[in-house]
Amino acid sequence: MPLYILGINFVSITDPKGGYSGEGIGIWIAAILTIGIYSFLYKDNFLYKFAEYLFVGVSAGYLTAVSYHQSLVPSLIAPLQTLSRDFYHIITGASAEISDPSLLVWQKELVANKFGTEFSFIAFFSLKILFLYILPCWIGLMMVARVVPNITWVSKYPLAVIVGYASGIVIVTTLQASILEQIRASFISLAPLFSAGWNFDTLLPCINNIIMVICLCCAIIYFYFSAEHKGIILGTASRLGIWTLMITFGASFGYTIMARISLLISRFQFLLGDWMQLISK
Amino acid sequence: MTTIFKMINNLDRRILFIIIALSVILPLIRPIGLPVAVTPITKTAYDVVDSLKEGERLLLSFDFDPASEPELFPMAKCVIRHCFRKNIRIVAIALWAQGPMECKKAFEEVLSESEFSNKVYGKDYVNLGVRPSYLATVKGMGTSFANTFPVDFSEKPITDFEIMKGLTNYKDIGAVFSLTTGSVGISTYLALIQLQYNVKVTGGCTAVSALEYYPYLQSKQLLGLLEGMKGASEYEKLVNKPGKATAAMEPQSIVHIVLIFFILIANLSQYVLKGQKY
Repeated sequence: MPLYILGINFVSITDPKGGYSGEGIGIWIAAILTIGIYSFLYKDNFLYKFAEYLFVGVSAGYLTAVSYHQSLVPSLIAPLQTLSRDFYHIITGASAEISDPSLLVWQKELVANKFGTEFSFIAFFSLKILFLYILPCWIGLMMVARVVPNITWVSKYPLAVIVGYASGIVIVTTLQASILEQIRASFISLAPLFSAGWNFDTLLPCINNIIMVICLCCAIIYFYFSAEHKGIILGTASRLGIWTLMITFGASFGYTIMARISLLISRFQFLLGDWMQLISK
Repeated sequence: MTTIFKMINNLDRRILFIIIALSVILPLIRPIGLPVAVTPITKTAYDVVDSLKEGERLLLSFDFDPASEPELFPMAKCVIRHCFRKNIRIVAIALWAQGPMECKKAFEEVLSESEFSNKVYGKDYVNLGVRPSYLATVKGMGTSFANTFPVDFSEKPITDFEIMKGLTNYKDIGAVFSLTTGSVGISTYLALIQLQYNVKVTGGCTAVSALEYYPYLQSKQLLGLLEGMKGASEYEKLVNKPGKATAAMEPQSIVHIVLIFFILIANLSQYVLKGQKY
């Protein structure tokens, strides 16, 4: 009764027909687990540990299921099934059932009964299956060797493949996008100030550009270690560089606080809205 | 005075937790109506979507998991609403394993609004799901969407969908909008495709990672950015649909004021009690 006076009306676990409401039960479980996680702020306890382990377990289980359905099925299982069906239809002459029209040529060749066609046909299918599916699958399975102590070294080979291909893709493009483009962007023209005249709209961006270039140079000087940071030029510049870095760290800290508080607010929105129905959802 | 500062220095941290909790709960229950101001970088991101013509495609990339939902999910709903109102078609993908479920949920919630009940899956939007290796996925779409995503999230062949007709690679995409947490997302699109295919890239990110995208904003590689819940609330204002992010900004502001107060008091007490035992 006192809860109703406060406006709290906990979500019901039953539906209007008298049965159980899946949504209501879900909200209650989520609310209890949320409170369990936040109970750590008081002190470590069983409910916190339970919620934490459950989260890790559910995440891992979900990831496995998604990987199977979004990776293994479309990239390996489904193509192998299609290929084996096509193989069967080509042999049995059911051309209408063949999914890949480019394979119809094999059927014509087999019907024509040319010398060596059977061998070429089997070799084509075997090599296709081997190089497109079996070999990549085998490389993937080698990664599992990591859990077997005696053959852990086997997992280095698939890792080498991953690192090699990722480096090949990333190095050139990252060099261009994250280094060359950034260097280009730091060469800022002050021309608008002179061409468009001295007014508020051109002056402010120019001041901003000057500050940016000075701070950039000073921050780089701070990381120049071949000379002692003393004297008017190096000493002053490196000190300004530290200030620049400190301002950046401050901004980063501010953003981090904003992010963490956002998570807290969201949980309270859930508890007060969905669970207690005290505020609108 | 010294006694008060000694008391502050020895304050149980759980009292601070209660104060923070109250700073969140009270404004949620009794909002005071603080205004939301739209920042230029949010407006630029909005303009990128707004500049797309009717029928053009937006690649909406769900590169986050439920842990980042408070900040990125409201953004996703706003972008979907914005596109649907302008009849911009949405090709949704994910670079994170949990992304497709977030995508599904966002579309379901927006479609439950009567304004968008006429939108059809496969014609106005599609959820292509996720593929292993984000590098291969992002590069692969540059060659062929059909080869990279032969089936959608519910394992239906993409050739069945009208939205996929005429979609070969990034040249058939108006802009990329990535909702990013962590290192995979906006920076991947910027590094791998933005310059190569001259695609407009914009997006939203969690506040924690917002700062790392500022160099890209300055170099105009990234066109606009929604920064955390603040960015989401600004986008909600731009699409004229205040939601959870807007409601969250009041507690956010009040907690920030409380935290600044805590920091000032703590520093002052440290200064006053310098060298003293307490």
